Formats: sequence, C-alpha cells, structure tokens
Amino acid sequence: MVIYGVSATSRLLAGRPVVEVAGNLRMLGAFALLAVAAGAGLFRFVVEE
Amino acid sequence: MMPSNGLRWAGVALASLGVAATLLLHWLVFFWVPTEASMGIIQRIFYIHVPAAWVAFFAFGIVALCSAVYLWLGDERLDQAAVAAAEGGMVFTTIVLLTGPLWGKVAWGTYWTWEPRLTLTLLLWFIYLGYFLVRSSTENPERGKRFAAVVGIVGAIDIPLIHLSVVWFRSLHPEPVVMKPEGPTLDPDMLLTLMVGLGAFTSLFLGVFLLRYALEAASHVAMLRSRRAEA
Repeated sequence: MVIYGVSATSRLLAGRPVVEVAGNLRMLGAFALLAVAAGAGLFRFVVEE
Repeated sequence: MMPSNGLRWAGVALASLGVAATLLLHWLVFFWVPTEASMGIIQRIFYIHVPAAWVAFFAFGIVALCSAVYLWLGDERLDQAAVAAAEGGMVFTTIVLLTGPLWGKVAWGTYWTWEPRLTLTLLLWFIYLGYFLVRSSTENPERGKRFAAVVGIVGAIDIPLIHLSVVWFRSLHPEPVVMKPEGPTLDPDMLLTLMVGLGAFTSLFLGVFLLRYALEAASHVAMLRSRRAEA
C-alpha cells in the first residue's frame, strides 16, 4: 500500500492528471475498506486485556 | 478425534490422480498444445503458472474460511485443516513466484518488476509465511492458533486485490484470458490444456491436503494421549 500511496502522490505532485492514478486510488480505497472491516471483526481475537 | 481411514484413502486416491494428471499435463504442454503466435514457446509456462495460482488462491481461501469458523466455534479440526491448506498454498504460491519470473525474463527482459500483481503475490507469500511464524511464536499454543487464524483471514484479503490489480492498473502482467465477462478468449486446445492443468493441480492439492490434515489430526491425538499419560 505504501508503494501505491507514494506512486500516486509523486505523480500528482508532478502535475499528472488524477485519471493516471485512478488504479492506485482504487487499490488504496479497497484495501482501506477491507482492512477496516477485517479489523473491526477480528479485533477481539487479537487484543487482550 | 482420529481421522478415519476413508479420509486417508481419499487423500491417496486424489493425490495419485493428481500425479497422473500432472504427467498428462506435461505431455500435453511439451508435445500437443500449439505454440502461441506472439510469445512463442515460453508461453507454455502459462499451463503451470495459472493452475498453480488458482490452487494457491483456493488453498488460502480454505485457510480463511476454516480460520473464520475456528475463531467462531473453536473446533480444533478447523485449525488443523487451515494449517494443512496453508502449507499447500505456500507450495503453490512458490511455484507461481518461480514460474512467473522465468516467463518474465523472456517476455519483459527482466525476472522481476515491482508491478502490482507481482508485488501483491509476493506480499501474499510473506503474509502466509507470517501465518506459520505467528503460530509458533507464542508460549500458549491456543493463543498462537488464534493469532494465526487472524493472519489467515487477513491474508485472504490480498487475493481479490491480486485479481483486480490487473484490471485497475495499466500493468505489465497479461490480463485474464479465461475469467472474463465475455467468456474465455483462448484457443480451444490451449483451453483444454489449461483445464487439465487446473484439474491436475487441484486434485494433487486436495489429495495432499487430506493426507496432511489426517497427519495433523493424528499428531494432535498423540499429543493429547501423551499429556494424559504424564498427568
């Protein structure tokens, strides 16, 4: 995800159009969505008092 | 619970069928299937690479499913099945990561490039390597199993991302030629060879998976007996 984030940021800072980083943004969005869902569901199995 | 003999025989039968079908696959690949026009002879690695990738995803799907139900019900057999599937998944992912670069060297001029599908597949391999490390990293085995189950589920998140990465990015990796909305766009002989490969590797995996599961279950029973004898 770091690779996709850095790649998208560097292209945007270089003035490239947003369309060019659409794949990166989709990947980051999908990962965030799945990570939040998995985190919410699995939290109680990992964290103990 | 001790696994039944039926399970073991099913494992032996499926593994034997898988070995026979794998031999047939190699004959088809080397002597029968036509050579692809643009890529030439190196394209034949596709008949090993794609079935291996399918079985790896299938295996890690089993890991995720068994792990999720294990966390829910706490049944030891599900954990044993998850471990057995994870080992198979690791073997087939390794095959994917070895055969892909061999093709890449000829097609792209380099063994490796940090493009999305390759990077995510390597990540998948490392996540499931972590599955085994986490499992053996705790003093309490039950806690290790629980943590490993979580890694097994989280790792499976990578699988749809691997598939979609080729669609979402203008990547070097070839786009799917079978799993397309408009149907497969592959020569019928090539498709048949691919299907033999899928059947062979799936059968081989399921056979070894059942045998490995039976071994894991037997090992668990032996450990319980040993503990009772000590107590």
